[in-house]
Amino acid sequence: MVVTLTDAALNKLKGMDILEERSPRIDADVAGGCGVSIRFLLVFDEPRRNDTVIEHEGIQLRIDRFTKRYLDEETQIDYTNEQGFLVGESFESSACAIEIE
Amino acid sequence: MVESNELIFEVSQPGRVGSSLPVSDVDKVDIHEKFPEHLIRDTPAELPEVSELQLVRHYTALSNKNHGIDNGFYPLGSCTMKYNPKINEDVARFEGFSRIHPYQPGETVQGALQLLYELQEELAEITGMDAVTLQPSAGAQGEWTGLMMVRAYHEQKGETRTKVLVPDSAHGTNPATATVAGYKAVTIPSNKDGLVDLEELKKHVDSDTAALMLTNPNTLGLFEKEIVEIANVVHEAGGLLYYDGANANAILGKTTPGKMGFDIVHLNLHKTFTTPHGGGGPGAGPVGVKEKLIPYLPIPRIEKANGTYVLNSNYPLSIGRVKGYYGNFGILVRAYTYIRTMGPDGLRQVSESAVLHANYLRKKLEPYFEAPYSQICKHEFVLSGSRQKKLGVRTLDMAKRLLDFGYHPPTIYFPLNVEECMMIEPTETESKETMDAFADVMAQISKEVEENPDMVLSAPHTTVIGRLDEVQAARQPVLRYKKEESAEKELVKA
Repeated sequence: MVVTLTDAALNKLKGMDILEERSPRIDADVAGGCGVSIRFLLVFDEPRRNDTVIEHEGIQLRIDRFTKRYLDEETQIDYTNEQGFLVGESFESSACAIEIE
Repeated sequence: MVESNELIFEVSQPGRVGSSLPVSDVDKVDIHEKFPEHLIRDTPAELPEVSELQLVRHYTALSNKNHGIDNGFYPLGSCTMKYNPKINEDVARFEGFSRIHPYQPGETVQGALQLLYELQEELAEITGMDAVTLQPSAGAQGEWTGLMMVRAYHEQKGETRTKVLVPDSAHGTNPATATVAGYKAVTIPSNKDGLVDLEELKKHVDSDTAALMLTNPNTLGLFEKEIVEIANVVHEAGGLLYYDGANANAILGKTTPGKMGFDIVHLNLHKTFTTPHGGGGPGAGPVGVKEKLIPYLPIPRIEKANGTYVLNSNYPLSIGRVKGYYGNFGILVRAYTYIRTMGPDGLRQVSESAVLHANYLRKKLEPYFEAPYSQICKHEFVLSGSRQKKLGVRTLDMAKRLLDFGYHPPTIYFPLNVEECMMIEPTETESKETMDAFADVMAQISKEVEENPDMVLSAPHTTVIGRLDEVQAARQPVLRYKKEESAEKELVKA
């Protein structure tokens, strides 16, 4: 599994004051009812048991086991002023990749 | 018994048949002479070829793998998975109901028409409405029928209204129905108590408001205590109040949407009124209306005139027919049977027991799961798996683990405004012993989350097929069996 950060996302994260109890996490957000759908978000919250922690240029990202199970093989995190952090599958050439075991 | 997980296509043997037909005494026709070449298949369809016994065993085995209310607890919130009494089935099979045809002259099916008429009257009394149509074939179609009447009502008054208001805890069908009916669906947020935020509602209600769609009790199982004021706000702006009565199990015989100020109601007979549920139907979603909306009801309407039951289509303002014939008749017979066997006191007891059971189970489970709303609930309640989420286990994992104990999981991740939501509805037909056993299993799963999370994360363990990848299934659905692909998989396995 490969997680990439675009320059915009990396710069935004580097400029933030990140605390242990509100650290960045790629998180599966589940919506249900008659069926279940999952989308991925970048959220800031406290550590969970058995989190996987990945690091790039001093930025740590957490992923819980549930999210890791469903995350795409290739996942990109981008940032725009209008939409905030975006977690998806598309790629930009300037993205930095982190491989997760 | 040897259990096979093969598909019917994989059981197939070339040339094997399950039936024998007599020699045809009709001249053969050359298909190429009768149809254009581009419509004729190049290769025969790959249909399964099996014996009758293989066919029966295959589908019986599949049915045994299914979970239904007849073989286990099914606390699927908002779906009211209560027991369907077998007397309903007996009555629906009476020849006078099962061997008639909708094209028969009315005078030859007076008993059937009497049943439909009386069911209309009974549902009108139960909901506090003035008239009812039985035509819609399910709840969502009932909603659509209701909103088409809303549209016709406003248009008749010379008004064009553009929006329908829907609380954020509403059934997903409500905003969908509003959109399909040509309205803009506008979401009204809930307040901290899980109820409609009256001040937010007032901000959105105006002369463009066609209707407010509301469920009461709402999907959190909470009664909208300000319903009279909510109704006043909408009515003063000229809008109508729509009651989503999919879940009427807490109000039977206690109150009515009519008393609360609603103008239109739909009921899901396959929930509250014990007709078979799920599997794609057939269902029934009758719609009741107050007097001012009667002219717009679907036609034909079933009426009683001079002691005779008749079909009347003479309603020029009607939105027209919304379903073939008069609705799903067999389902209507079952609901009528239920209402008549229960009687007024029995129906009142249904809602009292449903509310008591939900509150009993809620209190049994609250020590183990977060309860975002701790007030007394109606027929269902919500819990949150947020405590377990911090331990790396999600509500979806716990729902899968429940399968190992033979329970259908609750509704999960709905309503959307509750984190890691579990929506639980035990219904009035379950025993204390069943609810106690379910609570014990939920407590055990909660303990496993703390002490042995892998057991939950890798569930289910006892089902025929283990953990499914819902995300991949949604993104890359494989909906068609292809023989070649199946053969390739066999080669890979070898």
